[in-house]
Formats: sequence, C-alpha cells, structure tokens
Amino acid sequence: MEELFTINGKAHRLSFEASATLSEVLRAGGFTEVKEGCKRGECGICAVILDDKLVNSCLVFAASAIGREIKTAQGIGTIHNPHVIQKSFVDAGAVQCGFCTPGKVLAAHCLLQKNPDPGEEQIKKEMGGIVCRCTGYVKIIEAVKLAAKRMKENV
Amino acid sequence: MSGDGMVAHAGGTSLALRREANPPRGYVDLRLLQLDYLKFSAGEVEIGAMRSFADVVADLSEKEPDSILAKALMSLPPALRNRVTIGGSVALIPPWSDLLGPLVALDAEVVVAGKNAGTYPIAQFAKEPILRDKSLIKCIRYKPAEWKTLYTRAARTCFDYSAFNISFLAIVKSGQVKDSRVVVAGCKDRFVRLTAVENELNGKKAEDIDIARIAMKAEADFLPKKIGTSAYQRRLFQVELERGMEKLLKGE
Repeated sequence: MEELFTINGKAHRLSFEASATLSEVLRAGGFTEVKEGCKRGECGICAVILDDKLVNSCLVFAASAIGREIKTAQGIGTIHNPHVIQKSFVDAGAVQCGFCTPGKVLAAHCLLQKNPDPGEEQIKKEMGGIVCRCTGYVKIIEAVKLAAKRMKENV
Repeated sequence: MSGDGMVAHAGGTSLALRREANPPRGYVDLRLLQLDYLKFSAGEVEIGAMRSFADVVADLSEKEPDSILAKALMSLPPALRNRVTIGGSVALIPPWSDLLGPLVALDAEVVVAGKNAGTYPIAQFAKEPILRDKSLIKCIRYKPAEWKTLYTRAARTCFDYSAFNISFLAIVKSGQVKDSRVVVAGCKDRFVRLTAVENELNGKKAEDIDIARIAMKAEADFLPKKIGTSAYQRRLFQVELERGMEKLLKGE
C-alpha cells in the first residue's frame, strides 16, 4: 500500500506492507536517524514523536500513523541549524557512538515541553527507557540540564 | 473479528511483537469503538480499554493522587506509557505491564463484550483464560477509597521487567489500621492476595504491629527467573514485603 505520511511538517508518500512498523517505513523512506535496535520496544533507540507523544516506533504500525504528525530528530534541528537540545548534547559530551542520541534528544524535547525546569529525578524518569551503552547516562543528564538552562535564557 | 489474515488493532503494542510469526493482511481499527476514556461517576472509576497508561496517570493525578494504579503505570518508561493500553494489559497480562496486582487489590471488575459478555472480577478474569476467547474488553471499573498506597517492584534495573510486584493499600485512622489489601503479582500462581497478612494488620495499632514477623511468615512461590532462583525470589519477596509495610504504616 502507499500512503501520505506527515513527517517533520512535510507530506511524504511512502509505500509499505500492511504489517510494517513505523520504524521500518521511516527508515526505508530515508529517515535513517530513526535507529533500529531490539525491535521489541525494550531499548527505545527507535523513539520518535507521534502527535506530541514520545513512542517506540518499532511498536507502532505504520498504518496507524497515517494522518498524524510524526517528528524525528531532524524535525527539531539539523546539522546546519541544530536545536539548542542537540547543541547541548554535543557541548556536554553526551554523544559518543551517537546511536541513542536521536531518541534521547526527542525524549529531552518532550520533557522540556512538559516541564522547562525539571529536577534530576524527573530527568532520569522521563529519559528512561532509551538504553545508552556508552555514556553511563551522567553526561546525558547534564546535557538535559544544560538545554533547560539555555532554553530558559533563550540562548 | 479476526479472520482471513485481518486482525483487530486497538492501538497498543502487542500486535507489533507478534506480526513476524503471523503477518497480518490488514487491520480492523478498533479506535472507532471510542474506548479511549476515563470517567468518574457514582463513586466509581471507569477506564476504557483503549486508554493509554500515560493518559490514565494524567487523569488520576488530581482526583486520586495516591492511586496505586497510577504508581504501577509509572513503572513503564514514557515511550511505552504513551502506547500501552489498559485493555491490552488486562487481556494479555504481558511481563512489561503487569497490572494484576493493583487491580486485584482494588477489587476491580472487567466489562467484556462478545462471546463471554459480562462483568467479571479481575481475579476471576485473570484465572480463566477461556473468558478472553473471542471477547472484547470494554473497560475496567473500581471504587476508589481513601487508601494510603505503596507499589514496589523487584527488577534487575529500573527499566527491566518486574520479577514480581507488591501492591499495598491501607486505611489508617488515629494510628489504627482499619482495612488493608496486600497483593503480590508475578508469582507462580500469577498473583496472590495475602489475606493472612491483611488479617494480621487489620484492627491493630500500626506502631504495635510486628512487621518483621508477619513478613517472614508470608508465603508465595516463584518460578525461577533471570533475577534469581525461586528461593532467592521468595526471600526477596519477604524483604520487600517488610520494607513496604514499614514504609506504608510507619513511614520508615
């Protein structure tokens, strides 16, 4: 089947099987910043934002995402115009292999939309469910705090 | 509803995990049934089967701030909370969203349509898989009360599946335990309501209760899991039970 998906504010016509997940369709459509990990919703690497809510795209059927707003990491900022969250991740040293980073950035985006000034416990809870094998999570927590500070100061 | 490769999809997560074994040809979208709601009426909470965990937590946060159900739902990370549904969790009792403990503690009921249409206590619904055959869960219902609550889960890491979880509810007035419910889920019998523990607590002054003795006598059997052997889990269960009661009744 072929349908229109709204991804990062633009319409994309993508073809897919009925049983395809959103992660498969996005990656096949060129959105490879959506990473593929466990494909079981356990690692969180494939997280995207669907209608303002963070979801594991490997657990979402592509068909059920038609007509809804899908946002990937590229949807909040790009290499040439990074979002303050993405810049904060880099500046805090929170990016090593980078595999979890797109999901973490989106989780941080959702958190800071909900609470612009989260404490460390809330950061840990809301950033949980996306596994990082590299950083030990400390730098990621610092990156979110840095992003919150910068967003408050409008840097 | 299923047949000819078409499957019913209620917006949750379980079908995505099973599709490789049985790839569907298409879906019947159950969102048309409008089972995504939560309402408070006539002293009852009614939660539509397709309500997500995240939405239920948000709904309960004001009207039932110490909700045992909300505490259990918060054990999932945000991306899963936003998709996992109450109905799917009750139908499948998957390891990542075991709500049995809190729902049994709340004496919740399940309202079912289809072949086994009716209203069933959650304990019966969980123990009789035949009730799920060709049935659609419409909602769950329970009566909230002024419970003090505590939910604890045993897991290797914060995002691991629970090996087991314990739900504690107590009504304490003037330092006396008026009523209590204690349920362990994830054990060999799927769940056990610890009525022997409850009988030891009810009617007693919280400060006089010998919690350590009660916890050591409590019994539940466990199958070996990644967290440890059956014996290890049994001992861990007693430790978590003691800690939970201390915290709930004595604030320690």
